[in-house]
Amino acid sequence: MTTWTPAGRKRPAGGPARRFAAPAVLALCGLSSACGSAWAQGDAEAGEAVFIAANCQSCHTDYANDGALLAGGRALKTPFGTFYSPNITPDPKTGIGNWSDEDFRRALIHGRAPDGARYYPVFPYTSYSGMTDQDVADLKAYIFSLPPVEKANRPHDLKWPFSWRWVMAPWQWLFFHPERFAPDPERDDLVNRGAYLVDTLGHCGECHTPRNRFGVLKDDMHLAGQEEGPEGGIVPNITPDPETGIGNWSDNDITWLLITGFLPDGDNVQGGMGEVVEHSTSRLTDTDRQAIAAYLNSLPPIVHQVGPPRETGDTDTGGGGDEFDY
Amino acid sequence: MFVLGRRTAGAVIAGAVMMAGLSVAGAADEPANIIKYRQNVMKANGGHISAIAAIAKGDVSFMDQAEDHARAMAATAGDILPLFPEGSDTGADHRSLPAIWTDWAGFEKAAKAYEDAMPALVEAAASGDRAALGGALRDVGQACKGCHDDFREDK
Ligand code: HEC
Ligand code: HEC
Ligand code: HEC
Repeated sequence: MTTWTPAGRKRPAGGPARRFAAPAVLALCGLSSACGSAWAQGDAEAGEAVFIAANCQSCHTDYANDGALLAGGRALKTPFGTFYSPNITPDPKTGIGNWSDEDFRRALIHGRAPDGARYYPVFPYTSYSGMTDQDVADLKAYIFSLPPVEKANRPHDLKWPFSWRWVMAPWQWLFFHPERFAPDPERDDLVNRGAYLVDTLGHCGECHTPRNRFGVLKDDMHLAGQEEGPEGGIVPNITPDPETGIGNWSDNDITWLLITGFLPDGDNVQGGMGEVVEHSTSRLTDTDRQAIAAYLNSLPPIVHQVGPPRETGDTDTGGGGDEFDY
Repeated sequence: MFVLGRRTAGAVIAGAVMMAGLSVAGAADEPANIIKYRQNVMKANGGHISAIAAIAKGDVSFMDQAEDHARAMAATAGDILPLFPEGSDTGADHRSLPAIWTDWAGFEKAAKAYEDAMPALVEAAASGDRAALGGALRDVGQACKGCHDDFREDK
């Protein structure tokens, strides 16, 4: 039996021992609850898989202006104003080259900057907070193996009061309660892996789940789609409701979309989802794509029509009264 | 004196007649009808793509029909540009972006890239090799997406 690991890969030999048989470190860490990463040694190669599944590059690379990988500056328009993603290359001056492992872990898991400031949830730490310490450590090792790029961050251009970063303190206090991902023993390994890929790393819900007026994802509408997505457009319901969601899709239809970007009707996805496919899901392993499909199809179906109903195949020929009847 | 081969001359004349016919169609038809027509042409592409995809994925084993779908797409791949005459942006719901008309050269390029992806699709379909077909289909998908990204509104 293979055991499920959050990253879906074989642990390097000696991994578990290295992680758990370190009483001295544990003893020290006992003093500080924020010490969890001290025994997780990063492996850059494994980190690349995490990086792909978490799609860090889409937001942190300014593709529209041929920006360098992870050098930031990409504009992210939201109802609160425009955010410009920061440089997260290992450049010590303008990137995160001086960050400790703990700084990095705190950013992803707790949404806090090294100086304690709170991040806006447009950086989806709200999802990433479920990541395992090992994945965080591997991810950092990978990012720090990439070329540093010197490029100063551009300040966000936000509407008041969101321009006050401190409003994120009460927001986090009220709405953000980091919770590590825990596999559900009732579900099989593949579905658990899919849950980790969809809800934690892939942060699919950041687009596919509607939000309340505080910008908080509605738990009872998990992945049920929304009319006003992050880019203003429609984000479809991807729960397995046959009428309003993707209940009529086979697992094969889902994995095919994740590889090629083609929908079952032969159209292709574009916009945010086009990027997800290009930078992330098309580069996952087959098993991981199957895990995503298995998890999506295991969800409770939610009836929620987003945008116009899917066409049944009737074709509007236009014109006057001389339409074909077929 | 140069002499045109009879077939070439025929093709030139037929081509000229077709072009004239098309530009007349573009000018005289109701914009709403042109929009619906082009959407149906696009949907037909989608239909062929999903049929080929089902074969490439192994959902169905009609490999002997893959080439027919590919050829149908190849045959109409050159038809896209006339479906977007100036002024065909009102009268019906549509997702065509103004960039089509402000950057017509870019639009032509996207249409050309799509046409150029066709021979490989036909070849892969004829080969009967599922993996090759899947690969060619992905390339065609990039060409569809290449145009949609720049010239079709996001959902
Ligand atoms: C949806 C877009 C998005 C994605 C995906 C994303 N980020 Fe970010 N990230 C941002 C934005 C925007 C900020 C700035 C937040 C702020 O100023 O409060 C940010 C901030 C950060 C910071 C803090 C940088 C600093 O200088 O303080 C780090 C580190 C970071 N992201 C790493 C990552 C990693 C690693 C991933 C992938 C696991 C990732 N991000 C994925 C948008 C994104
Ligand atoms: C940046 C926002 C964003 C993220 C993140 C995102 N999606 Fe999407 N997704 C969209 C949008 C927008 C569409 C509609 C795109 C289109 O049809 O052009 C879509 C469409 C889809 C569809 C097709 C549904 C249909 O009925 O047409 C599926 C399936 C899907 N996404 C799954 C996922 C999965 C799985 C993830 C996480 C790995 C994910 N999405 C992450 C924005 C996003
Ligand atoms: C040269 C540009 C271009 C290429 C190439 C292209 N499309 Fe399109 N397509 C468009 C535009 C523009 C629209 C929006 C039309 C409108 O609504 O006015 C569209 C719309 C569509 C639609 C929606 C039709 C509807 O129901 O309204 C589908 C489906 C589609 N395309 C499929 C495809 C497929 C599949 C391919 C590749 C095999 C493809 N397209 C290649 C430009 C292109």
